[in-house]
Amino acid sequence: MSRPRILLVEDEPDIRRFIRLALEREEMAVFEAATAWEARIGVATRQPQLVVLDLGLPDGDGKEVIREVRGWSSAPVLVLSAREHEQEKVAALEAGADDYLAKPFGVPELIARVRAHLRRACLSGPHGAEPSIVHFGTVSVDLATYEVERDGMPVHLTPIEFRLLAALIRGHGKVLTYRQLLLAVWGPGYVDRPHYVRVYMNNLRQKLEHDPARPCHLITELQVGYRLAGIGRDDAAPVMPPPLLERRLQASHHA
Amino acid sequence: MVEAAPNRAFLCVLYAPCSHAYRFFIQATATMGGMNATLTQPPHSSLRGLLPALAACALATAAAGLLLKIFDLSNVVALFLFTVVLVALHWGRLAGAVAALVGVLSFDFFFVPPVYSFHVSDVQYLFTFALAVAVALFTGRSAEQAREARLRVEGERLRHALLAAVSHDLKTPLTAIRGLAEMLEAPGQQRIDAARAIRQQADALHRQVGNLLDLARMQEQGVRLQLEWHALSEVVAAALAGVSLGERQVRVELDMSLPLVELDGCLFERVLSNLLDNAAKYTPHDARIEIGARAQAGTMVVYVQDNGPGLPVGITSDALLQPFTRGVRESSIAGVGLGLALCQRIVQAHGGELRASSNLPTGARFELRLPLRRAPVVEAERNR
Repeated sequence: MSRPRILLVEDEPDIRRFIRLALEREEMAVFEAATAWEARIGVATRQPQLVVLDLGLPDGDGKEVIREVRGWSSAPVLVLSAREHEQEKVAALEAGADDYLAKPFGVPELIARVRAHLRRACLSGPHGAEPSIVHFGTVSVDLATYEVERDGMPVHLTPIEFRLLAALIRGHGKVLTYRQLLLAVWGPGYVDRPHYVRVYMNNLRQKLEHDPARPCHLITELQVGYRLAGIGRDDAAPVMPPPLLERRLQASHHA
Repeated sequence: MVEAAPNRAFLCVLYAPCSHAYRFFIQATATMGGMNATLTQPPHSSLRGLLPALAACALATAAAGLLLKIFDLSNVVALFLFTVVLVALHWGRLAGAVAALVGVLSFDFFFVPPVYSFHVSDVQYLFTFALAVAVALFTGRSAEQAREARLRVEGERLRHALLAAVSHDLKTPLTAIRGLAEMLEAPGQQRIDAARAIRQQADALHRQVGNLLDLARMQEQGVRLQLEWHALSEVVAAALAGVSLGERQVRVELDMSLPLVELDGCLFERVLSNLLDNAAKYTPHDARIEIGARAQAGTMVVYVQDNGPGLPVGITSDALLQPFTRGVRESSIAGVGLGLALCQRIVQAHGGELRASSNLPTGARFELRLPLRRAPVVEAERNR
């Protein structure tokens, strides 16, 4: 199998160097770009499976790059950002980024995120089918039959709780903003009510996490949104159509 | 000496109401003059003192009118003089002069015969007028000088503390990082240890710089809150995920049915992670730390406590929450004493309060109280 191709967009040479070293140690092929301009060329010519992108680039805003790239590539984008700007993270995610890491970050964390996104890109890629049974921790969820089990015991979820969980599962571990979750689960009339997500997420944690106060799977990204961590799939399971947005992206990718 | 004691007691009895009256006077004149002044606020020698000066003269005139029924006119003059001195002390030279002038005019107009005219029948009053103005100018000037000297000393002290704190606490991890990086050239286990230590030092530096920047930003622009309704458990989990507590055991005492609280999630996470970090920094590596929350009588109580050595002796809870106060001076424990000060500012901005106390039998306890407002309604789900 060929090595996964990563495009690394970062203007600071020392940061670029250590990320490159870390990724190359994991048997990945790394291509570097230091500006927004080089990033656009890189995505077009190298066809990376994943883009690691610093938001503050000398010749333009990283969010613009994401928006443009999203038009013709479905490669996951992992954003690197300075910590204080929660709004910035939300904007990047809504522009089409999949995840973000706050600077300074640790190498193991970076590798874990990169691996997770590569895995899901591989699974939900153009030729991969969406299996309907999903596992995380001791929980298994059947998206087709609406059945949820924890430690082998059935768990009853309300319709909204299930829709919320399903939205997170379809996100494949990517960070979903409050707005995205509200739109997906409650509809456009509710986008200004982030506390709805918090209340229902609290319910989900109590039903699915072993220690709801210190969750391992339903992870909060404070003032940004949520993501589902530790997700695995049952590949033998029947086919589930990918969500609409992703199908559209794949279609445009193949056009 | 035997008679002196009752005299002193008498003076004390007299002093207490006087000092209250004095505070009241300053507050009242400031309020009447449209200023929100407190006794600790440095006085202004600019035009802002003029309104309180006028208000003070009005008060003095009213009081003089009442006193005149009991006292002689020449004794009532002293009241005006007293007013002028107070105004000069509190709002500077210019306000004092204005108070003197207005006081003299109002004394002349209302009390000096012929009453309700500026005409002066007795030339002796001109001497009184001149004396009042001179006293005002003189006290105003001395007060201003004393104030400037005090500010200079205060500023100097703060600058010193900042320099000492920054140079110690930012240079310590930098020195360690540098030394450790050099150790990376060594082989084997040493190398692994060095790498780990470098990471810890970088984390420490990151936290210090973050606190310093946050505090500086808040000093400059005030605390800007991005309030949203949060589940406290999420904020606690985020704080726990962000700090490294080593081998210390952590217990989380959170009732999952706690109501939502309106707060700035990121800033509040900062408060909790600073408190946790603080607990870890000042306790041995096998200590137990507990973080928890409960709602009681319209208040959300959140606490972080440990079973370590407890609060430093001789430092009050208030002093501990000031910038640059540290439990242990010049120790190997890093931290500029900004963490708790930052917590205090953020909690206060939320309308709450932070207190440090001893945790029995041993250890420290930091408790913060937030007023609970009624959480927004979440429509119940229709069961299908």
